[in-house]
Amino acid sequence: MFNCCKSCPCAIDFSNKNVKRLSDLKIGEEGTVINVAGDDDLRIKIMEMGITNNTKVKVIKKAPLNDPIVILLRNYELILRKEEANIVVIQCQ
Amino acid sequence: MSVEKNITSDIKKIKTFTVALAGNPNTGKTSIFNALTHQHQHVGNWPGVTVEKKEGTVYNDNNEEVKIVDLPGIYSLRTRSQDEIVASSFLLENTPDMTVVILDASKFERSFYLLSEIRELGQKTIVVLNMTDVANENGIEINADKLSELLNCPVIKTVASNNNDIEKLKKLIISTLSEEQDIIFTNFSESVEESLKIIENNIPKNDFKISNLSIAIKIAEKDDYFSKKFLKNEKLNEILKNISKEYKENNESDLQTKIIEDRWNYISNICKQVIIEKGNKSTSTIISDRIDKIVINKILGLPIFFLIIFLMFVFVYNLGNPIIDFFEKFISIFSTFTKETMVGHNIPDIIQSLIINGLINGVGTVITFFPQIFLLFLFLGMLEDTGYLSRGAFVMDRLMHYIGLNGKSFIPLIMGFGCNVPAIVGTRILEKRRDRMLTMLVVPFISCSARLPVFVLFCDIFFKKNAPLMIFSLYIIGITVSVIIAKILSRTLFKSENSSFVMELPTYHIPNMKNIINTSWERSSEFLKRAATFIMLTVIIVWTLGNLPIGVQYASENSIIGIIGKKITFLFSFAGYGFWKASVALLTGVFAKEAIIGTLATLLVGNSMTLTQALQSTFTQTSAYSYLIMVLLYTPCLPTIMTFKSESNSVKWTIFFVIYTFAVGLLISTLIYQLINLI
Repeated sequence: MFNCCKSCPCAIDFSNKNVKRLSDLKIGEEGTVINVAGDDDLRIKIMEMGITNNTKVKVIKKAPLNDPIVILLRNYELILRKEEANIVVIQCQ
Repeated sequence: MSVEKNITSDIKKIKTFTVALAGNPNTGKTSIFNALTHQHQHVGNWPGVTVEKKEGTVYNDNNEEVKIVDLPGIYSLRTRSQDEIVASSFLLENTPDMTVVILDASKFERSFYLLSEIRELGQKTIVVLNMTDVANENGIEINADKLSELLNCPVIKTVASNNNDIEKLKKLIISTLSEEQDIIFTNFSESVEESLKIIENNIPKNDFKISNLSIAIKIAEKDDYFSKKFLKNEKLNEILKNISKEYKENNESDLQTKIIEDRWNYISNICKQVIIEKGNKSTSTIISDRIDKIVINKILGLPIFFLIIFLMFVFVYNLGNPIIDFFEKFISIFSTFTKETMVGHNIPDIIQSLIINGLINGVGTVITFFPQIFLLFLFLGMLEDTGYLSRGAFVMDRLMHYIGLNGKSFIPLIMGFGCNVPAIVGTRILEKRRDRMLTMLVVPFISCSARLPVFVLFCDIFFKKNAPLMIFSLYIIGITVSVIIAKILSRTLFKSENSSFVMELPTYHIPNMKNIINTSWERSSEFLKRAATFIMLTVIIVWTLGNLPIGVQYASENSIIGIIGKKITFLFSFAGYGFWKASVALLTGVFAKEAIIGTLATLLVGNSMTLTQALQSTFTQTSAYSYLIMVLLYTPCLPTIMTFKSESNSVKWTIFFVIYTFAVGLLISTLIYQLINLI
């Protein structure tokens, strides 16, 4: 279990280069979800849209100002704001 | 008593069944609903909210009625937005005899989540795999027989435009209604099952038709709706707290998270068994990606969005204007005719005036909104159906998010430059009440076209050569104020409701024009029906206040409006226009902004003066400018207020709306007047 501040998954070991926040992924980068943290409302909403542990996701589009982003998962495209994607931790290959 | 009960339930059994249509947004649910029910449908609003309620009827062989209710498109049963509240509470409280769940076969896995939740309610279901053509094109095929076996419920593949498919579905609905169904649902992991069992055993007696297990699942995943209903029970509340705590200690995640994860695992498992992937990306996805490369491009994305919204603006107002002119001409001919007839019959002046200026004028005001609103819905419907609306919101979101709004809010705000009434109706594209309310509250600061004549009149007189610049500055002030107020409101009154932007990016579609035209017609007629009575009524009231006591000239010193105007004049003394004629004109401006000119003309113009001379002798440059700022920002016109009321469905917010806009206008015009005088 990890104690977490309001919206950052701080108990995650980011020293591993392959562990990244979803919001930091570049277009074309993909990986597997290893954690969704943060306050309940947003976390649940994100999980109900299919971003749960072990799901494969890929960033495929970004808005002109780089925010929000579009990710591909479970065979469909989902829009997220960067601040929302921030709570999703990804293990990249 | 019990006999009575039996009779009513028997009648119900014989006469009507209720079938709910549920599914994600963009799954072609509305097309299926329309095809199923065609002429036998009606559209209204759900009681208390402005979410569309569509109902239709299908008849079985015995000519018994099967009522079909089209629920708003949702992704899960959790109640966050109004759409979700409507759909969930219908499934939970009205417990339809059967639910038809429509899945997008091309996005099978994603759309399955809602199905798994609905199955957990223990209701009889039929699964419709719609858009199988798109799925096939994308190289996905679904084994319907296998799926039907796994779920133990009928599964049917459809293409909504295919009449044969719809006929088959209709038959299936009727035959399934009379069959029993054993519901197999989500395989929860053992730890979850155990916790659910304990909660289930402690659920008190209740009136819900769904099982205690279904309720237990909802309570365990902290669903608002059920938590509110059941956690008042202290024992259950205590038990839930203990279970959650214990669960967290013994497992990697918490109960709520695990339930959602279990659902997805169950879904992935089913997908593995029923999806046959044939590989390659289809041409349509490739085309979709290509369009997106341009439409959400770093450089072109925003300009393209602005261009489309500009076209929409031109389309709605320019195409609407000739129709409005036609209506207005018709109304003026009609009122001349009525007047002549009344004069011929010696009807007293006051009654004549009531009928012509009050009644006919009131009807006229209302009717003129119809073409604009219809065209607005038509254009928005096209943007939505093609899939562009989501892109526009996506492209614009970063900028709008700065001021606490949502990417989609931009569209109604722009429409506000034409007329605030369609702009407020246009906020319907926003799913969340918070975003809707915020946008509706700041729309009136966007200067509508009715305020322009007032600006032009004053600026031509007082600023001559600089008139265009001064008018432009007023527009900028309007935009700035709406931005600042939006930011303030989102940080204060709407602070607790956070807005998220988690939404699907739909694939592009060729719009179904027939459906869009139908829906636009229904929506705009519904608007007329709902708002018209209020608009009419208030128009007549203001007219009456301006003409009472009997015999006074409209809005003159001794009329009720004149008296009220005089009473409030002191408010404006620091803003530079503290004389009663100016404040009475503001009062009549609430009737319609352009009426300000008319009132000022009636009140100011004497025997030897023109309106220009009269204005020059009453206003200075500074007070004229501060008056214009007031005209720009203060309380919107009655049709706007009444539209706000019918769209927000809240008297409390409507009163706030009227008062706060007035306060903002007064404050800013006073501030600017005093500032200019200091300099």
